[in-house]
Amino acid sequence: MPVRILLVDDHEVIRQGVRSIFRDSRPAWEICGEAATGEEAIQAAKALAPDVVLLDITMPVMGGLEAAPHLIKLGYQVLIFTMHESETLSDEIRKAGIHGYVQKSQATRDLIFAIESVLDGGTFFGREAKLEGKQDTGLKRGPFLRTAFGFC
Amino acid sequence: MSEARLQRPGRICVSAKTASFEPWFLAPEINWREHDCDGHGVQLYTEDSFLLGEMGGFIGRTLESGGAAIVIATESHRQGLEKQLQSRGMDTAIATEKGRLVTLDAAETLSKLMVEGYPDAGCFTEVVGDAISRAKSAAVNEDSRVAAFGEMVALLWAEGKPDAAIHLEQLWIDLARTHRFSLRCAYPMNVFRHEDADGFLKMCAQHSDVIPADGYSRLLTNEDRLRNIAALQQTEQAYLTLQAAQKELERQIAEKMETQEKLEASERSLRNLSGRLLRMQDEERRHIGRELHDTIGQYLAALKMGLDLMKPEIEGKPGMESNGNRAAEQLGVCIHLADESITEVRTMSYLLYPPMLEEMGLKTAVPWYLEGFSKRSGIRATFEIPDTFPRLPRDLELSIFRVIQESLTNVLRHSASATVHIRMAIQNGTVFAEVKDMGKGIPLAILQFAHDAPDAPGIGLHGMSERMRQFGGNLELLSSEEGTTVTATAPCEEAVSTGTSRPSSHCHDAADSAISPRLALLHRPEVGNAR
Repeated sequence: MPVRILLVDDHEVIRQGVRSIFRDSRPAWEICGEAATGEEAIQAAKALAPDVVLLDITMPVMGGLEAAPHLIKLGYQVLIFTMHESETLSDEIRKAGIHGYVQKSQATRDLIFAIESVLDGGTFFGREAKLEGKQDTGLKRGPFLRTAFGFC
Repeated sequence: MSEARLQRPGRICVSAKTASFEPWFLAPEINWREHDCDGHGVQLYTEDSFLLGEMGGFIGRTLESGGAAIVIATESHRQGLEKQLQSRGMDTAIATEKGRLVTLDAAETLSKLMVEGYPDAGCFTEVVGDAISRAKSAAVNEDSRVAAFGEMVALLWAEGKPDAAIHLEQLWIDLARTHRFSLRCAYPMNVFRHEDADGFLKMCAQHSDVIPADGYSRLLTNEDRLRNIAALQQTEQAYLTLQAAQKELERQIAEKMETQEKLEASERSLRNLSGRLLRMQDEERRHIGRELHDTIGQYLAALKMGLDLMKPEIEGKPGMESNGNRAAEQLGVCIHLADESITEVRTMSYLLYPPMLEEMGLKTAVPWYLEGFSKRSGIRATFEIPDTFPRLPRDLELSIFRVIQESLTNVLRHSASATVHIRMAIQNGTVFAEVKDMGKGIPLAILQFAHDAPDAPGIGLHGMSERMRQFGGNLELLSSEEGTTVTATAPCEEAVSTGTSRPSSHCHDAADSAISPRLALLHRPEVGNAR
């Protein structure tokens, strides 16, 4: 039985990217529906009963963090799919009972693995490896803009 | 008429009739008793005996010449006057019986006149006017004079009601238009104090004659009299000077108050303006931050996905190894650049506007920010906030966040501290946010400078304290060689909610009214491994 995924993101380019990843790596998986807001996601989930809901955070009207508890209550597996990178966020997501968290910038590497983990009854909150090599980011980048805005 | 005369009503001065005399020698050999003619004189006195002597003469001469008299005085003065008249050989009982001498108690008569704190014109005419008419009709012949001696004005003055006294004087003057009589008011000198200069002059102005107090007529030589007049003139001059000084002072006070008001108004408008500027700046940063994250960020993420998807195709094609390697190398560079761009855009957007502040409040946004700050700066940041910390109004949350952000910038730039501790709490309706480092502290000179000129640029204190001031709050800076602590405080409403949802009046998200998923987000038990 093919895996059915509800894809929730308000950016078409992202949805397109995800479709490409599935097409290349798991052609058997089915994107059973797409939505662009939290409310649409809840409606679509009720109608389509997907195996996994891939849920963006920042969306108009109702964001992913608002929609997630409702989806979980309805019994769906929810994976947050976001631009944000933060351990604090990761903790909040975990505390809220959401099943996992995938960064959009690591989609090609992590998304399939994360979905399969969740389908197996597990969770996914990033791979240790992905944090490697990130320690040097920041300070020296974009000095001009940062100085201009007066931020550290 | 004497040669020295009060030139204008109420002005004490001596005029020269003949220019060939030195004014000094125009010492008036005044017989004040000549002032018995019709008019409204005021007799100043310090000693009762003097007043009684003068009034005894004034009333006595009138009665002796067949006229009538009306006396409105205090009991002791009435008795004293009666003795004076009797000593002149008059039978006051007969005069009273015939109605030629009318005596009334000053306080009692005054009480009949007063309406709402002021002597009433109608009552005055009724009581005093009638008394004068009656006395006049009792006079020996129609042309006889009526002399009046009144102390009601002095009573009002002594009671501290100079305005009422002046008003009563005016009523006497008005009465003189319809009734013919000669009036003498009497004021004891001790009711006038220095600060009464204005009132004293006004009182004088009500009278056609101002008759000096006791000493004057007892003086024997011209020189003494002149000295006395000079003293009176000097007193008047002093009063006038005092009055002018007082007016000038009043003018200056009014001017200063006006300046003060203007200053306060301009301060208020400056504060409003700086508040507006801060809000505009926040709004602009929020807009740019969100745009960066929501548009460029998403495109970059999609670009990264596309590049990542190309990787196995390019790396894995057999037979194209030489070209493939070059392409794979280029692809690797592109992927790296995409990664860097994503990180950069994300950092920029976080700095411009804290992610999740609106959605989840300070309890999430601050540690999120600290996480990035520690990564970028290498400074270990710890955060302490009670679980019950509520959501605050949006603007206040942002301002507190900005104060923390600005303080952390200072910690990084100036403190050389390896750690920083952030603590937030709410106590007795006040929200506290404290940023404490273990660095080298702010040099005293700079601290002093910041204290003396908080507007001066440098460590951003002005912006921080201005932010707090917008909410009626405060910013406190404590610094020593052991570190610096910045504490921001602001009054806030009692805790409305301890979760992630904002107090209802500040909710701007339609979804909040139906459900409170943000609240649930923090408190749901873990269900991750179920199923």
